[in-house]
Formats: sequence, C-alpha cells, structure tokens
Amino acid sequence: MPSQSHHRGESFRERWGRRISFGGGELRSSVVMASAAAGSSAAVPFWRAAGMTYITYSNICASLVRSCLKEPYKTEAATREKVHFAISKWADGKPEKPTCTLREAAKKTSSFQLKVTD
Amino acid sequence: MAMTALRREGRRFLLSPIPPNPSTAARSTMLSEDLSLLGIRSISTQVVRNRMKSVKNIQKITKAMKMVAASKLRAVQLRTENSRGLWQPFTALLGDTPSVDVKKNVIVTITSDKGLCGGINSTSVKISKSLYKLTSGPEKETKYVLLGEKGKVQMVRDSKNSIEMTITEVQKNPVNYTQVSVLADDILKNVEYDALRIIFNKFHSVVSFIPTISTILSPEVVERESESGGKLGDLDSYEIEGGETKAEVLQNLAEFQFSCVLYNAVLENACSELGARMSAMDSSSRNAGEMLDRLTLTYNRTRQASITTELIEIISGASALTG
Repeated sequence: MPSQSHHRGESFRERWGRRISFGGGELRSSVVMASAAAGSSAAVPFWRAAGMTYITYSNICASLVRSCLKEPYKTEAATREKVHFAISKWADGKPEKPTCTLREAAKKTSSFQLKVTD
Repeated sequence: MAMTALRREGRRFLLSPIPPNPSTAARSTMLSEDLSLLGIRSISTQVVRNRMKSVKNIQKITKAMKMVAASKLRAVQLRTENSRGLWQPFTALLGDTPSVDVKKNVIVTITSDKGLCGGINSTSVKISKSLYKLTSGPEKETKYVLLGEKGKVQMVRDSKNSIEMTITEVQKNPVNYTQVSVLADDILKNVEYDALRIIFNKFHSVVSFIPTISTILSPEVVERESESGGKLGDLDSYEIEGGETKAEVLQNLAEFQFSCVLYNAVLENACSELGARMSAMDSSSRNAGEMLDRLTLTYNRTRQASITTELIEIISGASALTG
C-alpha cells in the first residue's frame, strides 16, 4: 500500500483519513486528498496539505522576512541564507552520485511546485 | 682558511682508509660515511642537517595550524553558545529519553570533513557502532546517516550495508541555520524512523569534548510515550497554539526539534573539531621541538667528531713527517 517513495509521515496521515502520495520526493508533489472517511475533520494547514514540512514552511517565511529588509542589513542577511552540501543516498552498500546543492533557500522554495487536485 | 689548507695537507698523507672508531659509530648512529675516490672516509653531517630542516618546517606548519584553529574557534564558540538556547526548551517540554525502545532507529553521526583533529571522529564512530549493536534485535532496524567525510571513510569499512545517506561539504561555507534545516528536511523526507539518535561531540572547553547522544522521537512514539506517563504525559496539560489537533502539533514540533538539535549538534561538533585540532597541533609542535633538540645534539656531536678526526689526521701526518 505505501508507495515507492514512502514519506515517513504516511502512517500518521492514514490515521487521520487522508491519503497523500509523494512522487519524486523533492520539489514537485502531487497531492491527492481523499475525502475523510473517519477520523478528524480538522483542517490541516495549507502548507501541510501541499506537502511541505514545517521546516520548509518556516524557511520560506524566514526568507520572506529577509527580503523585506533594507539595504545594509539585507546583504548581511543574505549571507545567512546560503546553502551548500553534497548529499548522496546509498543503496545496497553503494553510494549514488552525490547531488550538490549550492543554492539559496529562497530559490529552492520559490521553485516549489504543487498540484492540488480535489 | 688555514684549516682547509691543513686539511688538504693532511689528506695527501693518507693513502689507506682509516677504520672508523667503533665507539664513535656506536655513539652517533647518524654517522654517514661516503667513500671518495681516494678511499678516504669523511663523516657527513648532511643527513642530520636535512632532517633538522624538515622537522623545523613541520614545526612551523603545525604552529600556524594551531593559530588558525584558535582564531576560528573563537568565532564558532560564540555561535554555539547562542544556539544552545534553541533546543533547551524542547528538552524541557518533550524530554530526552535515550532508553526508549523503538523499532526503527536512525543514527545520525556527525564527523568532520578534514583530518588532523585528534581522536574525536574515531570516538563518534565507535559510539555509533556500539549504539547500533544496542538497538539492533529481532524486528528492529537501524540505519546510519553520516555527516562528514571522516565518518564515511570509517563506516564504509565494515557497515556499508546499513548506511542510508552520506552528506559531505557541510562546512564549506560558515554554518547557518538555513543550511542545516534544509539538510534536516532532506533527511526527514528520505528515511523512515521511529527515533533519531544524533551523535556528536559536545564542546565543554578547549580541552574537553564529550561525545553526546540526542534522541528525537517521531510523533507517534511521542504519543505512545505520553500515554504511558512520565514527562511526556504532562503534554496534555499544555495549551498549544498553532495547531488544531495534538497530532499535528506533535508533527510540527518533532520536525522543528530535529532541525534545532541538528543545528546545535553541527555547531558543537565544529567547535570540538577546532579545539581538538588546536591541541593536536600543539602537541605536534612540542614533539617537533623535542625532536629538533635531540637532532641538534646529534649534529653537534657529529660535527665535533669530524673536526677531531681531521685534527688527528693532520697531527699524525705531521708527526710522521718530523718523527
């Protein structure tokens, strides 16, 4: 039942009667919301429904605040936004090619695309 | 000038090689004899001099590395102490229970990318391995997520199949929260976990780094534990804004907690790495200094022995002439 890229929150989601499947895992997510069978009818916040984690959400908010700053502080704050690391997943004891991410958090979050079908 | 003339005179009278004095040979093992065309052996100080030069260079380099590490440490230490305030409220609210028994464990080991920093990476890896043994059992699954080149190299040797992800080049630019939170997000998206255990070296002072384990539970496990009472059992008595359901609040809290604790852990480990490098380079320069002293003594002995030998040759040659 869990799809190939099993997001760790899925079992939690199922408890609350919504099926959310993630394809590709990284930036694009297609969200399928089944109508709630049983469980809570509490509205999940829009960003959670779109597949963002709290961390992504707070990063977007932070970069929005940083872009509101005026000039000398703006460049200082821009240095706090630089993201760089090389991550590589391992499968069967072998590493795959590392994906190098040199980007600013704002760029990543602004290219976040989501399709919500109801 | 006169010495060289005498030396030349003395050499002309020596047709047969002088057997080296066994006591001098035993005394200074750095004696090197080169046979010249005339069959004359002369004691050379070249080897000792070369060694002294290289040891002196190494001493300079290690001293410089120590200074660099000390200056970097000052800056990172300030940020580390400020970041401690991020996770302390979480521990006050949710507690830190390393003894929790869960099915899926993920061990996040934080090590450095660069070497020459003493034994901190080896201790972290050792603890990860023993934690792995501790948390494995029937129906249980433990995986590694490794930050840092040094940890990856050590783990690959025997635990290749339990590695889930490796992350390097974290310290290329100065560490900021955004970077670590993106990293935390990637980790959360790609691993399934019931409990995350972060292993890092906590920075107590320039000479003491304590390996520490921080445990972060997934929201379901927090629910389960809160039902069984204890610190988490009081969670219901709090009125929490920002979420409609308890489970949703716990989800947000768990993600944010992981991000904050990881940020603090990366900073503490960076501090410990710099401190360990400082002390390693310091002891290295001290050793180089001692080595240099010993080599200087040997050099002087060799030099004086060669001068004495020259004198003996000259005098015996002169006395052979007159006598």
